[in-house]
Amino acid sequence: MPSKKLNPNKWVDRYSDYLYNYTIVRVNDREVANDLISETFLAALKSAKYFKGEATERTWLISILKRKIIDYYRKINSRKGKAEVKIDYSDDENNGEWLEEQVPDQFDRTAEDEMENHELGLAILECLDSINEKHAAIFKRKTIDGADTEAICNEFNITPSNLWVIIHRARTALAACLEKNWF
Amino acid sequence: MSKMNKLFFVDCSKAAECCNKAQYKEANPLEKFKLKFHLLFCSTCRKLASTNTRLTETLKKSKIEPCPEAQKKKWKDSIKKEYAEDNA
Repeated sequence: MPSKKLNPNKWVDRYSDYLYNYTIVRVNDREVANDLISETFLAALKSAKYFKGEATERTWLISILKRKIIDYYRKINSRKGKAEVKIDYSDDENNGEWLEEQVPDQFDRTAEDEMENHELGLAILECLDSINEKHAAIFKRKTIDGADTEAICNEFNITPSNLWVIIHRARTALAACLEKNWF
Repeated sequence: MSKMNKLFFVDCSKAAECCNKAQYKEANPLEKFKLKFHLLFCSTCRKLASTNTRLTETLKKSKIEPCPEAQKKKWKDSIKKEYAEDNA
């Protein structure tokens, strides 16, 4: 169960993947997403005294992030003309990439499918919040980051057998959580 | 258990390990064979293997993007600094 007391030193380990995935879907720019999350963490620290513990830490951080995202869109819309989507491949690095973007979208994939997949990603990260913290961390390194078994074993100081037991427990808990909340 | 039996038969926990390795394409051919052989006789593991495969497909579909480690470190440092200042 998530703690109802703030623990800022754990915010990045616990919530950064969730916040990151939540933001990039909404702003579609990794740099902007990083800035917004930085601002969210700092704003959360500043208003930590107002946290009543009625919501979980993650819900509270998301509510701050939502405001930051709205502010971001207000800001870019207030700059006249700058809110338009402009395609500008003036730098050599991206030259010619427009060709790839002209390829038609896959006919069988709709915007709803994309949205649902992003929602699914957030549901998975939410479920990972509710399982053993160490198991979730190891599972994320292995499955989401795609790290090597050996590297993870060194990082967490465990044997490969331990790793597979932990992965098994995390996967079983995750499957049960998704079964309950998603399917 | 004879040497032959040891080669072909595995218990459920070993089968689960092989099944998980297979999800990450890290099971060797012998492990894959042992798993398949075990699944012929064990309905519980068959169910588990099907849930596990479904979970792998779901994870692939979800397109979770890993947050870059360097960025995580930056955030950690700035939170640590700000938190220390606030509590000073």
